[in-house]
Amino acid sequence: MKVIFLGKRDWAIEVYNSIKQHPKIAKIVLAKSHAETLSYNIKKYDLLITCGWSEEIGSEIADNIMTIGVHCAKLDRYSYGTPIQLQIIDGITMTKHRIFHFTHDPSSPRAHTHNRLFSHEIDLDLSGNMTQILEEMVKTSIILFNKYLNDYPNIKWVEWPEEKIIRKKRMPKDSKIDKNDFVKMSAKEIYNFIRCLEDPYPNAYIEDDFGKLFFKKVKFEGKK
Amino acid sequence: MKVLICAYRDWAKEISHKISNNKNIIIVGNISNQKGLVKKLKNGLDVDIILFIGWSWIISDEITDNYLCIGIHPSDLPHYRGGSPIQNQIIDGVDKSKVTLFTLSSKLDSGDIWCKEDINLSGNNMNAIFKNIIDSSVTLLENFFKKYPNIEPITQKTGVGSYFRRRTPIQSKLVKQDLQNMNTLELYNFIRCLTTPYPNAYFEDDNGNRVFFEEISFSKK
Repeated sequence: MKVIFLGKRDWAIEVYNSIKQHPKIAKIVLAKSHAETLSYNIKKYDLLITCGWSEEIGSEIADNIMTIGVHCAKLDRYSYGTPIQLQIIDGITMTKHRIFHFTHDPSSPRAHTHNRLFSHEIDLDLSGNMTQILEEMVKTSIILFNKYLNDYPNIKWVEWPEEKIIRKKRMPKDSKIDKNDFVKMSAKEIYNFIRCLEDPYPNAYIEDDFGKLFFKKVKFEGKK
Repeated sequence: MKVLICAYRDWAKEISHKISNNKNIIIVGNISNQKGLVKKLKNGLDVDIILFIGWSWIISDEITDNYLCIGIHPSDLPHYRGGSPIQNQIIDGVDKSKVTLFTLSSKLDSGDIWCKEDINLSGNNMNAIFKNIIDSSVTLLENFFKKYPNIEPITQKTGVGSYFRRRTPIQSKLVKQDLQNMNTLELYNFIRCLTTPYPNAYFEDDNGNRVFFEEISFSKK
């Protein structure tokens, strides 16, 4: 089969370097942008794999090639962007990493997976710091894409249930903790808020007339 | 000039390494613990100066009475004598200070002062601050070696200045009231001076759970 791999983040390139060796792949090309993807004659390829891709792909791609991606959430409420951060802030430490069908639907507020379809899933541990979580995501992404390629073309799609709760995508300005909120938060809440915004994300910070204090790395210790 | 160097901390060893090629001195030994020092001096030692860098053990009167013992203290003595001088200065908002070369005596950090060198205490973490201490200490020692023995120490005025006890790990704790009352600059200073290898600053909530602040940065308004 012929595959286009769309990804630009360091961890996505690590995944690419592993799955490009899958025996079912006769040809694979790496695209690091939307434009680069379109520069290939996509109709001549069988599959577009996206990895760590947080932008929409548009109908010009979605309508012309089967497109998949990986999404790290079990619940529908985290289908709107920044799922890692939102789950950690909500106190979730174990979730699912899933292969989803990447579609385009301008009328849907969902990010990427407007149709709620997934094919393969695996546990994803969200309990560490961002470096550990990203390392974990490299491993789980490789397993998921290999599983998908192993089963291809006999892929079974499963629909996950719809929820009314929507957790909106976080923006860099959301990394600010209001001083009044800061003093009301428990140690665990502060830890979760800061650790999910460690590099490479916009770090958590508090601000006053003196300046901005950015928290880059934290550790938690439960009562002994 | 014959010098015996006593240093065990990484930054102190780096200073020792950087001055080792100084043409004004002959290093007669490098000591890294109290036992080694006692052993080295057991039968007397032909040495002009014993240099202590970042040394935490008490030096007996027998040694200070028989040898010229000098040490480096990272503050503008007589200010911030005693323990944890870096932390106490940074918490007080001091970011421009001195490293002081002084004679060790029976009274802690109160001996005669030979010379001083500027030091910058800014930096997001202790690694950056240690680098500043190393650079300033090397300059301080090179100036001293160049001038010695044509240099006279000045008696330290211990009636002025300040003295602090060494900080303990419990003093790294922040509670709700601290977060409420301290501004961002005060919090930044508190946290950065307690980055590794020191007991990290932490917030303890009402349930006894703790979050440790390991790395931070600050952007001034």
